[in-house]
Amino acid sequence: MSLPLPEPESVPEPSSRERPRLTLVPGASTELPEVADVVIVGGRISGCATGVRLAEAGLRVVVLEREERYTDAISTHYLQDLGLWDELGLLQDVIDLGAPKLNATRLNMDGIDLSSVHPEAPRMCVRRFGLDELLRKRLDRSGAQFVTGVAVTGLVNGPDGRVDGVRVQLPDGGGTVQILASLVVGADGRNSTVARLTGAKKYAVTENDRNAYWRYYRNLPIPPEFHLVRHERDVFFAVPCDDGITLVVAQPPSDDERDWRDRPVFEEVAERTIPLLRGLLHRAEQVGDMRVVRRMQGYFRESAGPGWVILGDAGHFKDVITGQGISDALRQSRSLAGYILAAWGKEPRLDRAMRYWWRARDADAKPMYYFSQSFGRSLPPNVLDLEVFRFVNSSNRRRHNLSRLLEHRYNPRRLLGVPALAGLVRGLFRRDTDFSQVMAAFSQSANRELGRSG
Amino acid sequence: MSTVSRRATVSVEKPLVALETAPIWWQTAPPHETGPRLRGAERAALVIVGGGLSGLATAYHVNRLDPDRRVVVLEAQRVGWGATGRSTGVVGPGLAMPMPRVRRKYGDAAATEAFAASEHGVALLRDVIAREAIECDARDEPHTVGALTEAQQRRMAKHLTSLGELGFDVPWLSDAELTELAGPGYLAGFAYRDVLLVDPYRLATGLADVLRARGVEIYEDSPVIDVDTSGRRPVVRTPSGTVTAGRLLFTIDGYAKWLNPHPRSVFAIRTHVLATAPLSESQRADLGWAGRGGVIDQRNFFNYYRMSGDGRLVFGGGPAVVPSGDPARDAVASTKVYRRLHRELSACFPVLGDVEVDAYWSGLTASSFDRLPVLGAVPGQAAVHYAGSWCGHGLSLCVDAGWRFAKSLVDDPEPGLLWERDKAPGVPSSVLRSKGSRAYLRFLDRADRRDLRRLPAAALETVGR
Repeated sequence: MSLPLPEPESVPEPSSRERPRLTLVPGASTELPEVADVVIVGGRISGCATGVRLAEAGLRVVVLEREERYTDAISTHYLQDLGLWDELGLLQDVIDLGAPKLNATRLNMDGIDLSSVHPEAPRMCVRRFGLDELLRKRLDRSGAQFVTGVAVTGLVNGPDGRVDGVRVQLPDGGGTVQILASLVVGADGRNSTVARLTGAKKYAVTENDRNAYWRYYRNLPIPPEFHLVRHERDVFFAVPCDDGITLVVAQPPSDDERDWRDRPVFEEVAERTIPLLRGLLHRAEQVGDMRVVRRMQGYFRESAGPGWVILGDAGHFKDVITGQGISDALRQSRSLAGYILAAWGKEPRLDRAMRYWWRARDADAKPMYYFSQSFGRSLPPNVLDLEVFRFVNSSNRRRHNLSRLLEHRYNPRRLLGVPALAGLVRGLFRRDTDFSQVMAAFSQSANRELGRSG
Repeated sequence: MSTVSRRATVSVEKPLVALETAPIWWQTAPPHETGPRLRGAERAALVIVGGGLSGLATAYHVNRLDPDRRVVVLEAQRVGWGATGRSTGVVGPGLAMPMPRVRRKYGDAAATEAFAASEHGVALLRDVIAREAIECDARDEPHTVGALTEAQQRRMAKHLTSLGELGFDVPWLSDAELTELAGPGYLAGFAYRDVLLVDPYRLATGLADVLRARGVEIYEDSPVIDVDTSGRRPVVRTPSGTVTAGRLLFTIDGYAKWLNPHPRSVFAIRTHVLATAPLSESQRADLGWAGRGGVIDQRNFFNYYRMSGDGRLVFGGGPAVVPSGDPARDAVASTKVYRRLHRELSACFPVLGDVEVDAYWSGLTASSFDRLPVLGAVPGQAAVHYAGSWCGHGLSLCVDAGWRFAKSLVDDPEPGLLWERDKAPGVPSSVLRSKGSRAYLRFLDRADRRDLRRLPAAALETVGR
């Protein structure tokens, strides 16, 4: 990537700036440092992964997490690129959590089979509970400080308006303290506090058409493969996870009238949509409660400013149908750590680097954002979509590319090249379609993939 | 925008591929808890890779002959996941290679022993089920073989003559018997009487429960990812553990993939089965078949069917397919077979023309080019054994083979059978193998069709061309 920044100095210097002494509120936990190089708000995947990388590069890192204990997060928790875990030295730990390696992806879109096998790049589906714990232990080993039970309530602004730290609320009415830092990283999810406090605005907002209903089942005999079927309005996926549990997710359009909280309704449609579940699902033992996510808005957020940067779901969120969240968070934490370390030392340079990172993040995420959105739409597919699916279906290499797309190794915009052209030609020569219909579909699809409305 | 989207959408077409369901046995069996996975570094006198009937029966016999011997079974998915739980559950005698050819090639003595072994497998399995009270809907019912054409009848006559000359007296069925046992539409037929019908998945899970109670360790969800045979004892690795084996036995047949020690001579083929919804009283009455036992026709790609315990017709057949490794391509091939199976089902039983089909599934089985099993030590790898290539006759042959393996392990070996060999006739090039086996399967299917074209029109209707 072309980065107008110098190479990182071999060892980034710890911050040596003079900071005003802090007066600790009486009774406050002395575990909280007064000064750090980087304060990371949010101790989930993107926060921990960024913390590990920065701490191991020699920075003093504090990670603040509001929750006192591990809680499970609603997440597709689909790991599409195990290499990202290997980079953090966690691959064997992830494997030891006991999820099977998924060597095949079975995709069936409106009756068109887009399946492929990828034993060279296996995937896994691991519930967040185990993943978050692994990352926190890894963070401890990296030397970063991890503090739970503290909520960020405000930012500390310098005279020039630069964010110079955070103000945190201590647990059990312990009062408020400040932590000063050269950089505040917001890794605090969709309802990001850092974004709220800095006034970061959303842009490129899209309304997703679908809700999502998660259920977990024990002892469901399905093969270790990812199964996703879109049939008419229904989208279901089923994937074996850790500990002998299988995740089954329904993603009905938000205007769907059926009562998805009703277990028999959910299971009846699931068994019809994914035949592999037939006769099995309604007899399997459900684990835990059903989880619901209603109509998740997709967005980008302004992600950098003087003294602050936000990443992960806080900065960008997309339709969950492509299951990119965790891989995105890990990839972003890798690139963000690179930018931070390269520019470490001078604040203006750091702030500039954060803006560059933000731009790079957008360039990286946009194609997949619009692809996910169009993949998950509840509208019936147009003629061109079907032709593109058919074109992809007709070759193993193209189906394999589609699976690499989900690994983030194939740009979704490339579908607008040869596949779209081939689909256009095939659509025009198909007997049951007419020219204007195909052209309308073409402009519709192209606008969608490029993120234009209308 | 709204006008565009309305104009530019079309209705969704009929699915181009049929998505498979789980085998009907899994859908009707009580849920079976998956066992633990292999953890840490273990040692065992015998490690069996493959938790199907073959592996479990071997473990059972070894344990019975020598309860102190530590036996570990590794299953990549779940017990009964592979060919066992996907079979139709008809356990009967017989070999895939035609009897006259077995005699020509190996002599009468070996042919007699071979056929007797297939009968012995049925008896052994019946004993195991009875002794351990395994609930698997086991029934002693005949297995009827029917000829659709005169050519098939001639082949059948040669087969029966051969069996008779070897001392296995299998009589022709009278027309009335044939109709009662197989349904209408067959020219001639015979029945093996010493046959067991089981629910194969519950047999596998039930046998696994018995083995666990007897101290055999069965690890599920433990696919083998590496086998190290460089030392004196083979070491098998799974993602979460290793086990060092005194002896290692592969009973993975068609699911072997890279573990197949005979890639030049043993290849996997996919066969397909469907199961209807439970039939109503009137549907059963109109079948024209009493619903007892298993039935098979005498084509190269035969149809075979039986009733399940809960009154479903389980119907297999159609051409076998060589898996390509490309899931979408295989799904297209399987879809064609399912369509054909459906056609043949409604031709065979017109009353079931619009019956609901609750399950359609496929399974892999392995075959050698000479259509005989391969059993024995793997050449070049110390203490590694292989039992497989059952060619569709595994349910009885593998039980017998497991018993023989156990006997040899406790130094009381039985005389060797003709399939105790360290290799089968092979094809040297992988292109020739895949293209050759596909071409051969196509040839067999053509031969079936040609044969049937000579039938009178009335008879044709019953076989569903």
